[in-house]
Amino acid sequence: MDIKASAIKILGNESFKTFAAGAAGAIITTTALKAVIRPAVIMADKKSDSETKKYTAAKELLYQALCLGAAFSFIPVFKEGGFRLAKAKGYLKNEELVNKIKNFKDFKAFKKDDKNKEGLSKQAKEAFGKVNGGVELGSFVGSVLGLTVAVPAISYFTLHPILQAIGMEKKETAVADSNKVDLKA
Amino acid sequence: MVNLEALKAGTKNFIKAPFEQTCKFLGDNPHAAVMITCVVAGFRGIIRPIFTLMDKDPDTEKKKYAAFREGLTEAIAIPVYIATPFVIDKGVVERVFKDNPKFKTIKSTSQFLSVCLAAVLIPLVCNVVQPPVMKAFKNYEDSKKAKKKLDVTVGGNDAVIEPPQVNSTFKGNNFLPIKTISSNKTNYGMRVGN
Repeated sequence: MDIKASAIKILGNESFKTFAAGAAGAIITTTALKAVIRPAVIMADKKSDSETKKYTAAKELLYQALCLGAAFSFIPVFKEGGFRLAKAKGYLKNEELVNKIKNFKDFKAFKKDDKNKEGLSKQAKEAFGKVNGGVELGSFVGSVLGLTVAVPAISYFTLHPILQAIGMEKKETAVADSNKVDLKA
Repeated sequence: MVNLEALKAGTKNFIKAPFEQTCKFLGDNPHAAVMITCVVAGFRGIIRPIFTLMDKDPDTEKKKYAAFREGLTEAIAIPVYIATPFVIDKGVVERVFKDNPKFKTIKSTSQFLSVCLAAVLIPLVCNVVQPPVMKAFKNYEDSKKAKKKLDVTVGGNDAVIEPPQVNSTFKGNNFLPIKTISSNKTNYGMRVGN
């Protein structure tokens, strides 16, 4: 099979384009990749000892898993918020769009099919672009808040207890006990 | 060349209606994947080290080192996220698929895949770039610490230098040089007086 033809078939897929063109798709995919690649690279490091490698890889895996959870929970909420804000600003008040897009579900269905956009006038295309921009802005805000503010805050409180629970980290009391000097000895 | 007139008009419009202009910019932007990954990396490079420095671990040196490494990882990530799609776009997509009717779609999807490739490349680039930078940082921190220690010894020597153990039976003589407590300099020559 011709490599170029198969590449065109994959890269030219319209459904793939809808997923790839959005900011949310990029964040979710890169976070999932990081959750696999980063621990693998840490484990492949020949200079560190195995215990340190295991601990760092587990910590990184947990952190990226939290990031993935935050991406899945924050981004859709903020995307819908962006849509509502754009609608409230009156960007959807276009006679060609107003009956077709009433809520966020309609917007997603409309965006998925490129044929919907083909017959639109310049004004309608511009209005749709603005609403799409509002949704993208929601993705940006959701990603930044979820991945860079919420995850470090959640991991600050949960990462060490989880690592202790799975036996990758000693409990603080256990460390303190091991540091105690036995005066009777 | 940057079109200054267009830039001026764009800035004026943005000041007039920031939300609308942002929506317009993001709605038609084909580089959303690159932009979002860079924005998240930038914010993460600032916020994650702050949380690391706030950690309960009492070892401040370890925390400082970890926070610097986290900031450095994101600082490396941003140029990789920008360069990888650019290189693949100019080097492969525009050369191979330029005449294809689906060129716009291919360009958009290939950019997304380039960002994914960048996410894979970043840990490998970090493995090459980080060790020498971290070593330089450690050396800098060590020299700073040594300098600080030296300053304390010179400036507040009375507090640092412990008084010598004086043998009570030894009354002293006029031939041996004596190291005084107040000064760290060696007393050359014979003692004069008692």
